[in-house]
Formats: sequence, structure tokens, C-alpha cells
Amino acid sequence: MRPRGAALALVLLACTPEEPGPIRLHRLSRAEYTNSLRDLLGVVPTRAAELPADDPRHGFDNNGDSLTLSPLLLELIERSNDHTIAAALDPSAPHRASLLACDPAQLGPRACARALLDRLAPRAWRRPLRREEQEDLLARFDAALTSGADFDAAIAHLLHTIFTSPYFLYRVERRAPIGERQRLSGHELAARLAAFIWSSAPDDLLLAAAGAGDLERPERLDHHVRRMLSDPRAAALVDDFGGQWLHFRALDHVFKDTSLYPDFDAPLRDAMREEAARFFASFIAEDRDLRGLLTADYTYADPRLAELYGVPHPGGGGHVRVDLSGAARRGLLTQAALLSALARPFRTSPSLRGAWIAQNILCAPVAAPPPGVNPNLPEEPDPARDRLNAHQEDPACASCHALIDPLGLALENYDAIGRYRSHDGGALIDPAGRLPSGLTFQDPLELAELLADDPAFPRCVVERALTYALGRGLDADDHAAADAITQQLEDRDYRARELFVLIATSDPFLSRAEADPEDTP
Amino acid sequence: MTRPHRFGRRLLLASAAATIALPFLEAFAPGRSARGAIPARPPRFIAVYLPNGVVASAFTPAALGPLLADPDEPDKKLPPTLAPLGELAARVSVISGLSNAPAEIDGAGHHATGTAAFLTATTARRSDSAPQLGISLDQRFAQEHAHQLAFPSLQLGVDGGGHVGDCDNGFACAYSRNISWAGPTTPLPKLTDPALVFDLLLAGDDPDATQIERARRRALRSSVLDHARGDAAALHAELGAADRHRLSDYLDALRQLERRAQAPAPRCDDAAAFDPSYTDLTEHVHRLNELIVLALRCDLTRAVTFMLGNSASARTYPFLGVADAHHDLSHNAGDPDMIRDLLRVEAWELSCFADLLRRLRDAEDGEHDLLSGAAVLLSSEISESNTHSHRGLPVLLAGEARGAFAPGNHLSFEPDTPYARLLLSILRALGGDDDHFGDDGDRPLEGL
Repeated sequence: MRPRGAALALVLLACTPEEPGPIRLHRLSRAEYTNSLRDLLGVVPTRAAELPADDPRHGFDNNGDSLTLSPLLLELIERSNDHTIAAALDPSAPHRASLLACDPAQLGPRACARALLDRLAPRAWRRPLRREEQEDLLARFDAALTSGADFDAAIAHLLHTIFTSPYFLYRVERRAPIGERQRLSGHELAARLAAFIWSSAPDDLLLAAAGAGDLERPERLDHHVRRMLSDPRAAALVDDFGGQWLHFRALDHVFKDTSLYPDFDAPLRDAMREEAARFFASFIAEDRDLRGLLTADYTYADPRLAELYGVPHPGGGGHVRVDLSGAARRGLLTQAALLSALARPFRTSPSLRGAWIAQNILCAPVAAPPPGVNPNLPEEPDPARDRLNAHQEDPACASCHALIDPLGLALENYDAIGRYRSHDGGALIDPAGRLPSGLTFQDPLELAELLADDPAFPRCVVERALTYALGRGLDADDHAAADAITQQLEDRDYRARELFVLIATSDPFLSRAEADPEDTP
Repeated sequence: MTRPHRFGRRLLLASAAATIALPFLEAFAPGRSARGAIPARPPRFIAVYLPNGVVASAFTPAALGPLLADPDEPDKKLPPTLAPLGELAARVSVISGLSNAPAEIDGAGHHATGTAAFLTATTARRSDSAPQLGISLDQRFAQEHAHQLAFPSLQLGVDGGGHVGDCDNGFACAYSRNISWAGPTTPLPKLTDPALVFDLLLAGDDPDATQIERARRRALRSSVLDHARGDAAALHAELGAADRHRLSDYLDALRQLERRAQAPAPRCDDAAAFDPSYTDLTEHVHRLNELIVLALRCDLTRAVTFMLGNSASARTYPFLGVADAHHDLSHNAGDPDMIRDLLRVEAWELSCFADLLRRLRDAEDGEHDLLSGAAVLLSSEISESNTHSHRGLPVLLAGEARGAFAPGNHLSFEPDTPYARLLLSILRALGGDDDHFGDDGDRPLEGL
């Protein structure tokens, strides 16, 4: 096993690790609900945007524990179901024909309903239906017809029943015997894979593989994971995993002082988010070395962003890949999305930036400022380095800030919206620094190289991805698995797709453990 | 005064034979009697939450007693932050000396625990995976007095999700974003979009549909919910305790939807005049205030909570000339420029509160106004913004709660009097007979 990186050892932590309880009922997150309906009905459920945001835990909003359900949420889901089903069955809807794929005048309404049920319900419920479940649903379709509903209304009723059922709204996993680790069933695994890689429901191929016991064969499982990563639905990994881990989702709620930063308008903000998303997507699409997230000499910019960065844009409206080799910018730490989200409305914040890097790039948890400490440094003097000296004078602050401050100060050359600057308030910025490990760097690009080489970085990538994949905090077994995955990832040259393949084929992902005695019925 | 319109027991017995044709809920759901009349003055509760505390010196009146000038003290003025209340201060009490001890914790996370304890007076479990709290005041009240309504309670706010990652030092985001908790593990998310709130409150049957068509739609909807309940029952047998709890939330939600499916479409005179559009934050708040009054006036709900920002809000207020983030300003260490900015934000918050009170005062409730039948609480997760303390909270209590309260004064209790006692007093003023609330609400306050 590799050492966990010198940087990590020097951060003292005040938190007690929690024992995460096993989840067997996992309510669909807003993204999972939205994508499932989209993939099953062929229309985008626009009203799903009305659902309240799910509360993130352990950094992600797909955490089983936080996915509670209130009457309001169910009402909004119902409202969205109604609207989406009506849109899917609209005579002008492009996917209506493929959804129904049957002429009731020719085959009879019941045969058409049965065909729809056979095709759609197993994907919606992520398992084959029992015979009595099928009969019950068909009986409700019949009852709707008998009550005077026309064919479309009765089909809508059938769909509505399928999408309101707890079997759609919750991923269900069997319980394991207490104290034992138990492998998931094929269909449970298919549901996990679809949630992890697509934030959606399984497709027919995956369900068929699950039914045939194919997912128990490592080479077939491997095949399906790679197939899924190549599917357009894998864009969910960029939006949901990347957007939360690398923080570009946070841009939606970033405010800037418009008098100081008049350029920070909605189009520029959108361009920043798009840059970060495309950059992360390029690693999956091109199966790149993940360490390049910190050191890549390319990015994606539209004309506005290219101007902000001072790099040439070949013209045209949208984002294109641009070369950064002539610019003082490398990797995601120097991208405007992160630099803007990790800054105050009116100035930079080396502490925010440094703490974020410690927590999300090195997975070194950083405790909050101790009580009684005023975390506001004086506004003067400039540059920030002089203000931050106060941290070193107070031992209560120094333990954490010995790591945070050099990381954050290294990025002082980028202002609160990520534009390059050499001076701050008239004073020349000195980005050089020394990490607690003793390693030194001259500028942010050298720091990025150091971080990319730090063994804590790949271990941290694995930890974040595993947390996301499992939808829960990691326990001791999971951490041991993360160590093993990190080793394997190194053997596979840190390729981005290998990260997801290794996680989807790891023990914690393939199995569940029953630990909490309170959970016994 | 008009007599409250109630179905007495005698009337019920006498008419039992004649009610067959009238569905049960249609006859008895409040506000939906055959005449469309609303029972006079049901109890009502509103809680308004401010993030990041207040600057006490500009909020707390210097003297006890009446808030407004009177012949004895013709020169008396409201403290600067309360000035937007103007004459409405006669309907408001400032209550000093209350402390929310359950929010006190070792270490960081005071915004989360203070917000969690705002309506629960319960200590939040420090956990990002498994938050645990207690029932909130609005929910306890709704259980007793509004469970039969289409919307037993309504949760509103101006911030939706927004946070990415951890919210507050190991405390789950649920603590920071929600002040209504239906139970220890069930935070109730809030709505922020006035158009959506309006739609949900007044969504009803299609007025053009025939009776037969309406009955069929209702039957189909009941069938969907009935099927879901069947599936849930089958699932229930196979789950552990924690997941049974999860499923019971689902069943509760189903029940509520079913009740709404059975009930006739809600009615509210003049509601069609409501325009949900807004162009800035102030208008956003005003639209939500308008909806609160509409929902209460038509007895669509009786308990409303309103977060004027999520816990530790980092919102900026450029329209007030405040460029800095609210939470950053609250850590001002006495900096006069930062305090000046904070006071602008706080005066704006109080002007939003005044707008709500004004609308309540201007709405009729029988021979009274809505404000006189309501208890309206305003407070924050911490007291003095700069210290992050839970002692000496800023508290306003508006409305007469049907005669239970006599507002208009600055009251002060012994230091460290439990804030939970105020919550208990409100619960009792609203008609509850609880003798305990939260962790330390052991008895009600006297003299409110």
C-alpha cells in the first residue's frame, strides 16, 4: 500500500468518523428521477425542475440518507408525472409511436397495454414484474376503459400508476443477513450501475444481462460498464459527479460585486460552467490520465472566456478547445469556474481556495475556525499574503492554515472572477510557497505539478468517486477498498475510464453489508 | 360578531340520514362548506426566519413597555432596525432575554444548530449522514389543528438549494435549509417560486369538465394512489426499521395526496387577481407574503414558515448598496463599515416583515383582521451576529392569537430563559394543550 501523502498527515482533524448505516431504500434523486423519465418516455420532464433540490451529504446530493420524501415532494412528482405523460402521449410527440408501438384498433387496447407494460415497466421498476403485478396493472387499465376513459387516458393512467409506485421512486435492495456482506442480485446491480453512470434507469441490454446472470461474470460486467461509459447518458457523470466534486455547479449561486466585476454577467458565468464541464468530459471521452485535471495545457473557451484568459479564440460563437501553452494557466485549479466560486463577491479568498484544494484534491479534512476566533482578517494591508500572516501567529489557526494558506496564496494571481493579475492593490503578488511536506513551488503551475504528483490526489479522486457511486459516506471497509482501487488505478496509468470501471467492479459497489443492529425488523 | 359556523353534534345526528349524497369531506372540510364560508378565526401560525442574527444595539428598544410613543413618552422612537414597522409596532412585541440552549454546541456549526433549533428547540445531531432533530412548532400545531386541510402547512423561502457539498461543519444541509420538521428525520423542503405556490394551492378540477368526467378523473387518481399503497404494503414486510421509517414518509405523503384528490377544488375569492411575477428580491418576498395571506384568508393552510434566506446566507444586497456577503458581514469584529452594511440588510428584512404584517392587518377575518387571529414569530439562528451566540435571541411576536397575546410592548425575561417556553406559549395560544415543547420548554411564559 502506498503512503497517503505527506500533506495529509499534517492536518489535524476534530471530527469523529461516522458509521454510515446501510440503505436498502434509496429514493431517486432529482437527477435520477428526471433522467429516468426522459429515457423511459422519450420526452424531457420539464416540470421536474420544480422539485426542491436534494440536500447534499458527504459532498453529493445522491446520498441515500438525505433523500427523504415529503408530501410536497410527492405532489410535485405527481405533477411532473402528469405533465410528462401527457407530453409523451401527445399525438404530435415524436416518440409517441415508439412508446406505444401498437395499434389498438388492430390488436385491441388490452394487447397494446400489455405490450407497453412488458416493454416499459421492467425498466421503470428496474426488475421484471411478477405475474400478479402485471395482472393488477392491466386490471387497472381495464377499469379505466370501463369507466369511460378513452385509450389514451387509460394508457396515461397505466403509466401514472407505474411512475407513482414506490418501486419506481425508490431503488430497492434486499437485506443481507446481519454481519455479513452479500452480493447484490443482478437486477440490484443493474439499478446501481444505471444510477452511478447515467443517473437514470437501466436500459434493455442491462436488464437482459442482469436477468441472464451475465453481470456475475467479471468480463461481462466489465463490458457493460465500458459500454455505459461510451453512451451519451454518461454525461450524467460530468453534470452530477463532476459538477459537485469539482464545484462548477456552485456557480449558479455565486454573487459578485458588479461594480468591481462588471464583466461577470450571466453569459460569462455560463461560459465558465461550460468550460469546466467540457474539460472534465474530455477526460472521460478521451480516457485521459486523471492527473492531467491539474496540469492540462488545454481548456475550452468561448470568445468571452478567451478574452478573460487572454488567449486567442479561433472565432465562431461557442466553446472550442484552446491551447494554454503560452498562458499562465494549467488545469482546473486555474479555471474561472472554480476561481470564481471560491472567492468573495468583492475579492479573492485564499482561505476558501486553499481549504477547497485540501478537502477535494487531497481529501485532507479541514476543521472550521475554532469558536471565539474572528475569521475575518483585516482588509489591509495588501497583498493578501501580509494579511494571512495573522494565521501563523495564532497556534489555533496555524495548524490548518500551514496547509491552506500556501495553497490559496498560490492562486492569488487570479482575481475573484479568475482573470490573471500580477499586482494586488499596487503590490506585486508573490505566489511562491512551501507545503507542510517541505516541498516548495514558485508559482501556481508548479504547485499544480506538485499536487498532481502527490499520491494523496489519486487516492482522493477514488474516495470522492466511490462516495458518489455508493451514495453514502465511506466506512472502514470502503476505505480499504479505496486503497486497493487507487493501487489498481496507478497500474492502469490513472486513466479516467478505468477509475469508473474499477469502482463499478469493486467489492463495496457489488455488495452490501448489514451492520446496524437497529435495522433488524 | 358573527357566530362561528360549526356543525354541532345535534345537527350531525339530525342530518345523518340526509348526508348520503354529500361526500363526507365536502361537508366537513373547513372552508369548504356548502356556502363556501370559512369558519371564523381558526388559529393561525406564521414563523419568519432571518439568517445570520442581528445587531442587537439597533434592534432592542432601550426601555421596557410600549413600543410606540404615547402621551407619557411623546418622543419615544423605535430602534433603527425596527423603524420599518411604524404604527404596526402596536401589534408587535419585542421579547428580550430568551436563549435557545439546545442550539449550543461545542465547536463550530452554530448556524446549523441554531437554524435546526429555530422551531424545534431541539439539539441537532452532528451528522452529515443521519441528521436527527425533533418536530417543529408549526408541524405540531398543524397535526392538531390543520391535519384535515388540503395543505396542513406551507414552507416558503427565497433560497432554494444552492449549497454544494457540506453546509456547516459536519451538520447535514437539511439543518441549514429547512426550519419545518415533520418528525426527527423528516425535514420539509420549501417552495420559492410564487407561481408554483399559487398553482399548488389553487390547482383544482378542470372547471369545464362534466360531473361524470370529474368523477372519473378522481376515481383514476384514487386508483393510482391506492395501487401505490398496495406496493408499499408489500415492500414494508421486507424492510428493516430505518427503511420502514422511510416508507412511512411515503405513505404519509400518499395519504395527504389522497385527501386532496377526494376534496373538492379549493376556492378562494379574488385569487385570480394574483400576479406571481417579480423582478427583484423585494418583490419576490412581497409576492410570497401575498400568497401567505391568500392561503390563510381562504383557509387553505394555517401554518406557514418563511425563510428570508438559508442558514448563514451569503447573499449580497447590491440594491441596498451592500456588496459584501451577508454571512461575511456578520463576522464584523466591530468594523463600523461592515456594521453599517449589516444594518441596511436588517432594516430591509424588517421592512419585509412589516409588509407581511400590513397585509395581514388589511385582510378581513370575520369582524376582525387576520393579524388578530394569528401568532407571527420572527427570530434568527443566532443572536448578535458577530458572536454566534444563542443567548439573548432577537425575537418579535406579532398578532393577538385570538386574544391570547397583548402585543405592543418590549418585554424582557430573566437572562437565559428558555426560548422553548415561548414556543410552548405560542402552541398553547393556538389552542394546544401541550405542557412541554422541545428540549427545555418546560412551561409557558407569562405576560405575553
